[in-house]
Amino acid sequence: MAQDKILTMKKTDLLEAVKIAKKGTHCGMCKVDFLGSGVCPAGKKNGFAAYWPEGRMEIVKALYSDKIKPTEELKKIANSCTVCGICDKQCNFTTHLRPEKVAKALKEFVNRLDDTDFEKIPEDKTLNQLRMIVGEKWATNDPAIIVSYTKTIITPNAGVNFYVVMPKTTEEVAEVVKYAVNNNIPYMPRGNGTLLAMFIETLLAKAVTLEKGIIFDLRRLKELKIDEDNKTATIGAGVTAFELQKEAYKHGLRALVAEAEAHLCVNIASVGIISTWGNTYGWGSDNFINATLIDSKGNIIHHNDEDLVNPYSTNNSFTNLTLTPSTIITEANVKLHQIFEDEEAVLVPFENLDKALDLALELAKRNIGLSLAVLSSKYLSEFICPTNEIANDFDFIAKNYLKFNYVVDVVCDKYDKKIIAELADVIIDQKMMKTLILGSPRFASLKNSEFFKILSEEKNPLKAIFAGPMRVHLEKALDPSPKQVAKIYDEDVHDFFEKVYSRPEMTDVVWLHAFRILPSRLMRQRMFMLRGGYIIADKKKIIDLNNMLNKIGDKYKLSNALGFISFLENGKFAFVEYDYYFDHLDSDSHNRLNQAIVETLQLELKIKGLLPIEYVFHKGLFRKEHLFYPMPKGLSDDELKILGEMVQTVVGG
Amino acid sequence: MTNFLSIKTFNNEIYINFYLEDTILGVEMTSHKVLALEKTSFKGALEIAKKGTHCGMCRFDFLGSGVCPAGIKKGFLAYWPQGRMEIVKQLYSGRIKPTEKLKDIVQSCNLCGFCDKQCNFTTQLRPEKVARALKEYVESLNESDFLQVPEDDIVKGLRKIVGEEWATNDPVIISSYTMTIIPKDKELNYYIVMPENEEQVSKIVKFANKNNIPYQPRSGGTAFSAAAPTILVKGISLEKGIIIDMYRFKKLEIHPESQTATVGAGITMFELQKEALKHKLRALAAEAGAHVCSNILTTGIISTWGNKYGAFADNFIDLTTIDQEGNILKHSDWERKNPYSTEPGFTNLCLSPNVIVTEAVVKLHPVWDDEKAVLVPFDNIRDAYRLLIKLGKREVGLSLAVLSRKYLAEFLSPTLQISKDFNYVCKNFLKLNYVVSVICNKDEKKVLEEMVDYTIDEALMKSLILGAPRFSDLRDSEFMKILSEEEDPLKSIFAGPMRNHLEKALDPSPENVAQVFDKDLQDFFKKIYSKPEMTDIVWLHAFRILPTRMMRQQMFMGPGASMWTDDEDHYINWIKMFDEMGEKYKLEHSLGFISPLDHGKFAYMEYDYYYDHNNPDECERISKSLIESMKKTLIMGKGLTILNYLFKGIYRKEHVLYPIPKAISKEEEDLFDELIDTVLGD
Amino acid sequence: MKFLSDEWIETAKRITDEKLDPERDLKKATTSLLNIIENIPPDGIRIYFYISVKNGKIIDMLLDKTGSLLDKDAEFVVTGNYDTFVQILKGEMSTLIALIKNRVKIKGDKVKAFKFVKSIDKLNSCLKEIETEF
Repeated sequence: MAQDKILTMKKTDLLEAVKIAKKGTHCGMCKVDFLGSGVCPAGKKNGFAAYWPEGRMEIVKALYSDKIKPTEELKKIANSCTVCGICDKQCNFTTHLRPEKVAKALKEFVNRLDDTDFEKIPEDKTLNQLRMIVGEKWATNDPAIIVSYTKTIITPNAGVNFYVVMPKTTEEVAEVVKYAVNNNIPYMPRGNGTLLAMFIETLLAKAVTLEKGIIFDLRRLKELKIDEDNKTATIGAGVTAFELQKEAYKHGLRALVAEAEAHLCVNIASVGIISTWGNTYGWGSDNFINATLIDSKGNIIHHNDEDLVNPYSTNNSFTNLTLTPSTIITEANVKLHQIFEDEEAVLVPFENLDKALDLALELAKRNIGLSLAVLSSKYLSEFICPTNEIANDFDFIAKNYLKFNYVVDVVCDKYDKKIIAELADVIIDQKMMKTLILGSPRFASLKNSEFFKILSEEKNPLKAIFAGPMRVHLEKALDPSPKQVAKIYDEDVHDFFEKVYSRPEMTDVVWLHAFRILPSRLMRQRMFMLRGGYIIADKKKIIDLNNMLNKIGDKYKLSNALGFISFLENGKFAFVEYDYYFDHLDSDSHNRLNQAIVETLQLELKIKGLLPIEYVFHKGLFRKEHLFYPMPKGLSDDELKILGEMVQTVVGG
Repeated sequence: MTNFLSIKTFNNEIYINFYLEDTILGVEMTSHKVLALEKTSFKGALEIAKKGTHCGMCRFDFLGSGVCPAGIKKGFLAYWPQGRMEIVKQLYSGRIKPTEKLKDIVQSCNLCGFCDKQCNFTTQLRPEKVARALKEYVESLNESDFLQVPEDDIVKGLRKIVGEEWATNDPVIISSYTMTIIPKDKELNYYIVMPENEEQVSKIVKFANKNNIPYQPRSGGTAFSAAAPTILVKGISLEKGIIIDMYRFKKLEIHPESQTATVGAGITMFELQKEALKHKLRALAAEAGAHVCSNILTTGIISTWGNKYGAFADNFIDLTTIDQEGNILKHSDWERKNPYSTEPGFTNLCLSPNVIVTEAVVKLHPVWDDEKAVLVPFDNIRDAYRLLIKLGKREVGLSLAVLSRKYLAEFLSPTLQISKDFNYVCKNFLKLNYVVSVICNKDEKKVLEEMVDYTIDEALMKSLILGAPRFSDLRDSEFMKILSEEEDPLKSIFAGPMRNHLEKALDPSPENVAQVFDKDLQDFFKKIYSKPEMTDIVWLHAFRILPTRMMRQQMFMGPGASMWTDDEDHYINWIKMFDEMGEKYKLEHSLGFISPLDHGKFAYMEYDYYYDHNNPDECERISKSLIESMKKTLIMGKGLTILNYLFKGIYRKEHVLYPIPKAISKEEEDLFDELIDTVLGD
Repeated sequence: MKFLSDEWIETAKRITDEKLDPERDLKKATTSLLNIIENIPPDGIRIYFYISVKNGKIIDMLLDKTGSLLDKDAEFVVTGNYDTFVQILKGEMSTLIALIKNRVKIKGDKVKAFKFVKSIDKLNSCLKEIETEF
C-alpha cells in the first residue's frame, strides 16, 4: 500500500533532512543576495516561501510529522530546485547548515511517489476570488505552501486552514483586504518573518500569529527608486534592507536599516528601526517622509493625508499593547543620509559596563559618531566569529585574559575620531578589527598559550594587547588571512569562502554596520529572545536593568548576555537589548525561557523610565515624541495584576 | 455714526470739527486746551511714537530692571508703553477721540521709568516721555471731552465668557493694537478679549462663528509689525472683529525628568529660556520677545540652533490648539484629523493662523559646562557658506550660522550710528563681510580650529561689544588705513600683531559703552554692560535680546526662507538675487543670516531690506521687492519662499520641506502674477 | 432682493449670462463649485449654493437647504461663514485673501483651485451688481 511505502521512505530519506531542517531558525538570509553569489532562483521566480530554502525546510518537517500529505504543488516545489547550491553558501556562512541536502532529499522523496499518492486540493470559492484579484499564480491554499510559512507567521500547531496571497501592488493589497473584511476572514501581513520567528518560540506565539485566514506575503512589492534630489528612496514592502542599502550606496547615500534580511517597510512598522545609527538618524517617523498603508477596512491611506485620522499619535500606557498590526504597510518614502569620505570604525574596549557607559553616554549626548553603541563582548564575538565554537573561544579569551567585557562601538568621521582618541585609553581600530575577523579561527589556540597567560597578568591587558607592544604578537599569533577563515567551513566551499573573505567589505567595519549581514549569526543553530526596551539614558538605570536581566537569566539557567545599547534623541534615551539564548529544540528550554520572559516583563514594567520592547512593537510609524514622552512611571502591583489578566486573555491558556 | 472729533492745523489756526450724524459743524476754536496739543511734549511724543516699531521688548523683563507694572496688571496693550505710543499717534491723527478708558490708561502709568531703560537699550527711544505727554494731554481735557462707550451685545457676550474686565470695545484700547494686528487705516470695528484658558478661547470662537464675526489671535505681534507696512498686511491683518489677546496664558513649567517644558501662549521666549536655564536646560531659541506658542505656529521657530535642536514639529512633544470650530484639540489626540501634514507646493499659502495654539510642550536640551562661541571671519560669502554646510552636515556645533557684517553690526552696536560705523570699518578696512558663528563644546572647538586659519574668540568679541563706541573714531584712524593695505587684514587683526592695537584702540569697558546712552541713564547702562551675560556670546545666542536692534527706528523686512543646500552655486545665486533686488528697488539691504537644518540638508536664510516705515514710497518699494523676490525664488526652484514657510510650524518638517520644490513652469508663473494682481487689485 | 433667495438666484443667472464672457472672464472653464454657507442669521442655518460651468458658460446655479446638493460631487467645495461670503460678494474681500486667511476652507485640488481665482472674482463682481439685501 502506498501509505506504507511513504512511511518507510520517511524514515530513511527524510530523516537526515529533518535533522538539518530542525536546526534552522528562520534567519531569512537565503532570501537576500548578501554574498553576491545569487539567491535561490526557484524562490525568486515563484515567490512563495515554499520555493525558498527556508520554506523547503519547513515542508520537510511537516511531511515527516504527517502534518501534510503530498500534493501536486509539492511536486512542483520539490522539482523547482535546480540543486544549484547557492543556498548552501548563504546558509553555511550564517549558520553552518547545508539546506541543499534538505532540498535534495525532498526532491528525491517526491519523485519516488506514485501519482496516486498526491492529494488533490478541492475547488475553493475564496481562492477563486483571491485569484481574480492577484492572478492565478499568486494565491494559493495548497498545504505544502501554507506549511512553509510555519514559524514565520503561523504556529507549528496551526493546521492548514489558510490562504497565501502575493499581491504586487498597493491596490491589490487593498482589494484583498476589502474582500477579507467583507467575508469575515482574518488576515495578517508578513515581511521576512524574522522578528515573528523569534516571538513564535515564546509564550507570545499565539498572540502574534494568525490562527486561520489569509497570509499576505508582501515579497512582490518590489518598488525601489532612489530620488537623488530629495535624498529619499521609495520602497515597496517587499524590499529588504540589504537591497535598499546596496542601491543607496551606489548614490553615495545610506539608509537607516536594521537587519539585512528584514523587509524595511515592515521593519519600520513593527519596531521603528532599532539600530546603532539611531542617535544620528532617528527612530519611527523620523525615518520616513511618507508611508502608504491599507487600513482595517481596506482603504489606502497615506501618512501625508490631512484628513486621515491622526497617524502619528499613540501612547505608552500599559494597556496599549499591540501584538498584531492593524494596518498593512505597502510602501514607504524613506530618508537617505550622506556618506562621508572619511568614515571610520573606532572601538573602545572596557572591562566593566560602568566605564563603557560613561564614555558612550558622553558621546551620545554630544552627538559624536554616526553609529554609536555599547556591545557586550559576547555580541561582538558573534559578529566577528564564523562559528559558534570560535565565538565561545573569543568570549573565553576576552573574559579571562583580556578583561574585555564591553566595547563602545563607533562609526565616525575623522574629526570625531580625534575627539574619541582623547577620551579613550585604548582603541581597537579598523586594522585590528580586520585582524580579529580574519584571524578568528586561531582564538582557540590562544586559549592555552603562554603568551596569553602572561598577558592576563598585566595590569591593563587591553592596553597591552591593542595599543601596546603585545599587539604585534597578537597579529602574528592570529595569522589573519581569508584562507585561514575559509578553512573552518566545509571543504567543498573553501574556495568560495576564501573569495568572500578577500572582499574588502567583509572586514570593513563601517560597511558591516551599514549592511548588517552578521546579526543573523545570533540565530545560528540556536535561538535567542530579546529583553529590554527603551529607557531614559541614565547610567544607573541602565546598569540596574542589565543586572536584573542577568539575574533572571541565571535564575532560569539560560545562557544570557547584554546584546547592545544604542541611543536616541541626542543621548536622551537608550535602547537596551539583552539576549537570552536557548535551544529551540528543547521543550524544557522553552519552559524556562517563558518563565523568564514573564518575570522579566513584570519587573521591567515596574521600572520608572523604561518602555519594554513589547510596547514598542507595532508603534514604529508613530512620532517618537508621542511614544517616549513622558516615559512610563512604572506600574504598581495592582496595575501589574490588571495587565497580567489582560495578557492572559491575549496569550491564551 | 458716533461723534468724531478731528483736530487739524491749517495756517496756524486750530480747527476742531465735530461730525455729528453725518453733518458737519465746523467750529473754529482756539482754546488753551487745544493749544496744549501744540506744546512740544505732545509733538515731541508723537515724534518718538512714530519712530517706534512695535518691537515689543517693553513687555518682558530682559534687563532684569523691571517691566511696566500697569501692563502686567491690566493686560491690554493700551496699558503698555508700546500701546501708549500707538494711542498718541491715533489721537493725533484723529482716528480716535478720548474716552473714559483713556483716563484709566493714563492714571495707570506711575512714571516709574522702566520702559525708558528697556526701550533705550533697544532703540534709543524714550517712551516715558510719551506716557508723560499723554498724561498731560488728558489732564488738559474737560469731562465733556471724554466719550462714553456703551456696551453692545457682542462685548456683553464676550464679558460673559471671560469676565467684565477682560473684554472691551473701547476705541482707545482697540486703537493701541494698530500695526500689531490692526491695519493702519481701517475703521475700528473691533473687540479685544483676553481669555485665560482653553475653554474660554473655545467659547469665544464659537460665539464669533455664531455671530458671523471674524476673529484672530494675537501674541507678541512682532511678526505682524514687521509685515504690516507692506503689501502683506492684507493677508495677515484682521479687517474687523474679535482680537483674542493671548497674554494671560501664563503657564510655565519645566519638567527636568523628561527635559521638556509646558508653556502657555502668553509666555515669551526669554521667560522660558530663563526658567529653563535654572535647570541647566535650554529651549530652541526664538527672538526674546516672541511668544513661544505663537512663534511655533508662525515659523516653527527659526533660530541658529535648528540643526541640532530640530525644526518644525521636532521641537515640541504636543500642542493644544483651538480649531476654527472652537474644538479644543491636541496634536497627541488619536481620534482627530492628522495635525502633522499639509500640502506641499507654492499654492499652499496661509497668511492667517488656522488654529490658535494655547499651550505647547516643548523639548529642552542640556546646557554643557564647556560651551564656547567661535566666530570665523570671511571676506566672501562662498567660503563662509561652504564652511557652514560642511559643519552642518557633520553636525558640528549646537548653534551654527553665517551672519553678515550688517547683522553682526546691528547686534554688537548699542546705537544705530555706531552700527553704521562698525559696518563701515568692517567693510572698507577689515574686509570682514561674513562670520560663521558657532557655539560648540571644547572638542568641537578644537575640530573647528583645525579646519580654519583663524577665529574670533570670545575675548575679542567682548572687546568689540564693549569698545563699539570707538568704531566712529576708527573710521578715520591711521591704524585702519594701514590695516586696509594688508594683504589679509582679517588675519592681521584677528590672529596677528594688530590685534593688540585694535583692542587698545577700542578701549573696551562698560563705562565707554554707557556713554552713548542718554546722560540720565548712563549709570544704569554701565551696570548692565558690566553683567557677564551682556558680553557672553553663548548667552546672547540663547537669549536673543539683540535681534530687535534691527528694528531701532527703522523697519526691516526679511524675506528668504529655506533652500536645499547641495547645489552651492544655486544657493549663492539665490542670495545674489536678493542682493540684486535690493539694488533694483534702491533699498538698504544686506544678507541677514543663514543657518542649516536637518543634517545640513537645508539652510534657512534671512535676507534683510531696511526702510523707513513712515515713508509710503519706501513701503511700496519693499512690497514690490518682496513680490519679485518671491517669484524669482519660485522660478529658481529648490526653495521655499517666506510666505510658504509661514504658519507651518505645527507640521512635521517632512511634510513642509519635502519634496524639493521644482522650479515653477511658465504657466505657474502666470498664475502667480494673476494671484498677485487679485491681491493688489483690492 | 434678499441674498440667496430664489429671486436672487434667478437674477444672478440672468445677469451672469448677460455680462460674463465665457472666454475672457471664465477662461472657458469646465468645473463645478459647491459653496456651503454657514451660520446664516437669524437662525444660524446652512445653505448650499451650487454652480457648474461648462466651457465658460454657467449651466447650473442651484440653492438648497437640505444638503442634497452634496450628491452632485462638485469638483470644489468651499465652506465658510455667512459673513465671509457677504464680504466677498460686496467686494470687501477678494477670494484669494479669503483663502489665504483661512476664512474659507476648500476641498479639492488646491493648485487647480488657484487657477480659477480670477474667474471667481469676475463672477463675484458681476453678482455684486445685483441689488442685494443681506
